[in-house]
Amino acid sequence: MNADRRRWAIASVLTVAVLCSPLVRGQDSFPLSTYPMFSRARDVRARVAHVIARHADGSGTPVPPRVLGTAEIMQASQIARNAAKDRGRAEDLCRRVAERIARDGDHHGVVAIEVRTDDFDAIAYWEGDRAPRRTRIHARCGVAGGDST
Amino acid sequence: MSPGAALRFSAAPAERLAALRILLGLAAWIYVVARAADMIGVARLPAWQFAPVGPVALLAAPLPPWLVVALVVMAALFGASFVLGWRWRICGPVFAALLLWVTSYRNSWGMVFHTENLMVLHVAVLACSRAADAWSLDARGAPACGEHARYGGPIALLMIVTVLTYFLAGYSKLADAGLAWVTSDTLRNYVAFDNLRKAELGDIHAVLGAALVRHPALFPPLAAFSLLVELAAPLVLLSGRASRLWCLMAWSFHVGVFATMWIVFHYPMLGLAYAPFFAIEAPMARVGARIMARHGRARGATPAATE
Repeated sequence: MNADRRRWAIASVLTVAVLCSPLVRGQDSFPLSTYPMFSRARDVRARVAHVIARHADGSGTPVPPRVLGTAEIMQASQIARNAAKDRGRAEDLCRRVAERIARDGDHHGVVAIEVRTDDFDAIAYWEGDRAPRRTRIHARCGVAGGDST
Repeated sequence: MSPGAALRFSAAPAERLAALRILLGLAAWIYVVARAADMIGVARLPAWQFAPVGPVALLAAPLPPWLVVALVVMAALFGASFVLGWRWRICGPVFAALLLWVTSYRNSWGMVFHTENLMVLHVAVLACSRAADAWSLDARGAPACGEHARYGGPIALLMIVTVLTYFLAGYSKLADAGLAWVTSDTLRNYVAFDNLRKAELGDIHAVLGAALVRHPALFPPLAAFSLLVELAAPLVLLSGRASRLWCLMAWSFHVGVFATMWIVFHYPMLGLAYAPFFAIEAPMARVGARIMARHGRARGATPAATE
């Protein structure tokens, strides 16, 4: 085996060891990962933390990700999930979103913002039963001028 | 060099490694430019969202916004040098380091996007190789390099990295859920949950996936296929024919994930993850020759058009 082949063979062994190291540490990171996103056993319960814009007629719609400070839906979901773990953070997020919506002025009819977690039955949801099984509201705040439609 | 020869780290033409530098480097450069707004946008998120991963774990607090912008701009500039093979010994490793940093920083706000790992790892391997010995600004006027293990070795490592990422994903499923991952409703529940989450967050969901959820019998075979693609991945390094079949299976697996969960793994879906398994230098040379010919015609036509 010439020097180059030996060098790349050694580099490959080291790379395999490094790439497998998250398995030993049991910890997901980047770019070294255990790729755990779909690995665990999962039942039908689906928990979704999100930020909802509540309208004067009582209906609710998801707040667009950009209002939460990101263009990506999954990042927005993570922001809501992190906020749901702590009342102070939930209130901070709620206040910032309400201020942004009031400032933007293109969300007419939105009277309040809710940071909430809803539990669903994921299979029943796609069979037509979309009502949450359980709801927790972590923060609720009014939108300035939101009563005008 | 066939994948079978890969494990012997056999010789390969310099042009094949150069073609991989251009193709995978261009994909990474386009990714940085296309995602620049997202990469910079995280600087506006509140500090309590900061959950550093990878090399960013060295930081105790987020970077100032101007530095986030500067690093993304530098990544775009060095990415262009990477693709062109200009001052490779400096620009190659610097781009790999910047790409690692900007993607890690974007992933350090609570959400780790597993769609970028393989791209970052491939660029790191290329940066450590002599991928600019051909088809580069550095190699202008230099004699042809021919075939050598110094070009075949990194291509073998690129293949190893590709198959290992799949194997790790499969191993995690077996370690976390066991064979129940195949025999139970786990995959069906994942498809249902992921589409539900997207629908509730106001995003597009996969209509096909949502419809398939009503047919539970479909999911164990799909789960078995997924696990087979992942766990069998390292074996394909032993045979060229098996590797091409596996690349097709892995690609169709990602198409299936897109169809049922609306998750885009752009790197494998565009075939980039599997490029090291193929002799891509010939088709790339043809594309390059066509571009050069068109460029030459355009330059030749300009004076005539103004006469």
